[in-house]
Amino acid sequence: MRFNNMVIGIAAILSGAFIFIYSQSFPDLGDGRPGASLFPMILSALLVIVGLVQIPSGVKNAKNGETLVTRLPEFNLHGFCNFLVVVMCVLFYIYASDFLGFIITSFLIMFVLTLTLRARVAVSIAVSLGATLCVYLMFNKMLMVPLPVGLFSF
Amino acid sequence: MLTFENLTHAAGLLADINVIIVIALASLYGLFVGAMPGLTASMATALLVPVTFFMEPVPALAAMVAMEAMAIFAGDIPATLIHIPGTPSSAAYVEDSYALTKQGQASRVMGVQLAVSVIGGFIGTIILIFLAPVLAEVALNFSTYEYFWLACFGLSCAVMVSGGSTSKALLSLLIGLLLNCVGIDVAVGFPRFTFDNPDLFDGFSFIPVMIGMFGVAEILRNVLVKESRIAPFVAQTGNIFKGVWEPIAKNWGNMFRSGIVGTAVGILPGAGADIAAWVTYGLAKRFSKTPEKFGQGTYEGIVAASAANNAALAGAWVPALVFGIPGDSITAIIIGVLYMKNLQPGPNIFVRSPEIILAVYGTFILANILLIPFGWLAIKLASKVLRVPRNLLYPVILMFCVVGAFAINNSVFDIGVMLVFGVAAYFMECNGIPVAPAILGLVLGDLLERSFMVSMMKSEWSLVPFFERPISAVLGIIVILIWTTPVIIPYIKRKMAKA
Repeated sequence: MRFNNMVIGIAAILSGAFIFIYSQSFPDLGDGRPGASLFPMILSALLVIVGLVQIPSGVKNAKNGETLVTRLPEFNLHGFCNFLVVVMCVLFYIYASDFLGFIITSFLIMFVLTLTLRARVAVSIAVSLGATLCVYLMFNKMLMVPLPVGLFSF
Repeated sequence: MLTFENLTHAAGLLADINVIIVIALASLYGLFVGAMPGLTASMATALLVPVTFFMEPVPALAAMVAMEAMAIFAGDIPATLIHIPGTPSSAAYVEDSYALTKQGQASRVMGVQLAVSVIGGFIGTIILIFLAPVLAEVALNFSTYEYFWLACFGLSCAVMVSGGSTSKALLSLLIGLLLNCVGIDVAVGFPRFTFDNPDLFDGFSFIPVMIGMFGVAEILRNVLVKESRIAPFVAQTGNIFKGVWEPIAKNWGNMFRSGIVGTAVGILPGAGADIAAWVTYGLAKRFSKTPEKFGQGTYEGIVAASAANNAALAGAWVPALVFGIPGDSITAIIIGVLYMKNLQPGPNIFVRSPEIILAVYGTFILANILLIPFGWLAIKLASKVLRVPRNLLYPVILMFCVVGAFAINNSVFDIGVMLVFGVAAYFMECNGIPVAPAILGLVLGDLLERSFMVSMMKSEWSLVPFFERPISAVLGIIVILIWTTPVIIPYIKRKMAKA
């Protein structure tokens, strides 16, 4: 997904303006000397300027026929589904690992991902199981990382 | 620093069997990642951090040094065999390598690449060993004024050398610096942009951000494209060192010049092995008697760029160790590791922990020696490595990313941070916004703000002391020149054109 520079510029200007205004609520050092707000205010002001710089090239590109949002060739239905599945898998881990535990969550994620990426079911099961156990042994047993155990205690 | 006691201490640390095993495993990991198109050395470093988190400082740093040296060389293998660079550092000479492969010289090309990578690595290491302590001696006298200008210099270089649009590189830098503002501020201890979320009080944890920006973004980029069939390649059964001497002997000066230039590019903050390869390839073409052969299959470009990208690795460690300013994305991650190990990078590390510095030097030497047998092995196993199905590899890498991000603070919040930064990095790159300046902004933001605020408080809000000390004044003038040159030169050119 490629955005026209106008969109990038406007996003930068709006973000910069928000940060600039929000930063004014930060406390100063007293006697009128700037404190916590100084850096965010300088940086957000620069962000607004850089945003403004993007606009002319965006307008020029728009005049040459570029749309505000251009779909990249690889961002087709197949690619978008794969992209979404990766993101959903990580979100699933964040919300489900405490309940299901690391081993089940990791196996499910890898199984779904390998299948989405067109692996055969048998290979997918074998790789997901093997990789889950490897990661578990390496991080939990060797490096003592307290991976989530979940309701089933593993 | 270079006392007999320190040397024996460092040698003892490196001779430990655990350290040797760690170096060997990290080398194999680096070769695998480097030889696998689509995976980068930066991603490999980010994924290695959670494992090194649990190690002593010497094996942790040794693993990273060995891994990066192997990965950068291994990127040449798929470039030569299947016309796809394993890492961006091998992209500059991929046309020449593959053209020679089509002429039946694949073994010889990889032999040359291996030999010059080792020589380039040694040139970089020698410069690191001699330059870093000298600079550290000078840097011991630095105050916050000098550090402020150094941070500005590093950030400015990151913007200038990132390639593409300068304004987008600046945008990326500002994003990194603003993200660094999240958390308790240095001046009054006020929690900025935390929105009452205690997970944000210490700011964004650096490693999950790195894993997201390098690991997750890489996976997202790769899963979008349908796996294309790898082009069949001729089995490499010949002796890879046969006939290697001739192209090296013909390009002796070219190789040494490229090793030195590569190291210098590596020292520049923000410019890593890939830029070193492009710069030296361009230089070799410029000095060549047959520039028209470049891109058609000439050893001149291969020797230059292949020596330079390995030399740049050691070069990038110079500013990282001496000033705490990363030379490239890999050393940006390594600075994070140094902080995790309570080894604050800067000139004092040369005084307080000389054995660590000597062990880093030793690992660079060892890694370059090991590159010969390990590189030979990688070339021999290339056909097997390149056939690992990518659709099985990416899910495993994703799981390593998730567990790696979690392992640093045992926090699920960090996995969310990793995901957000991974998606953001993907979209940034899609839109021509380079990621490297944002990373440097995140790494150097704290140094920039802290040194500026402390300097201003010391000087009672006067800017004059920033130019009063000699080194500070020189650095300040250089930085101001960097900032103003892109505006002034076109203006002068326009004036001259009118006249």
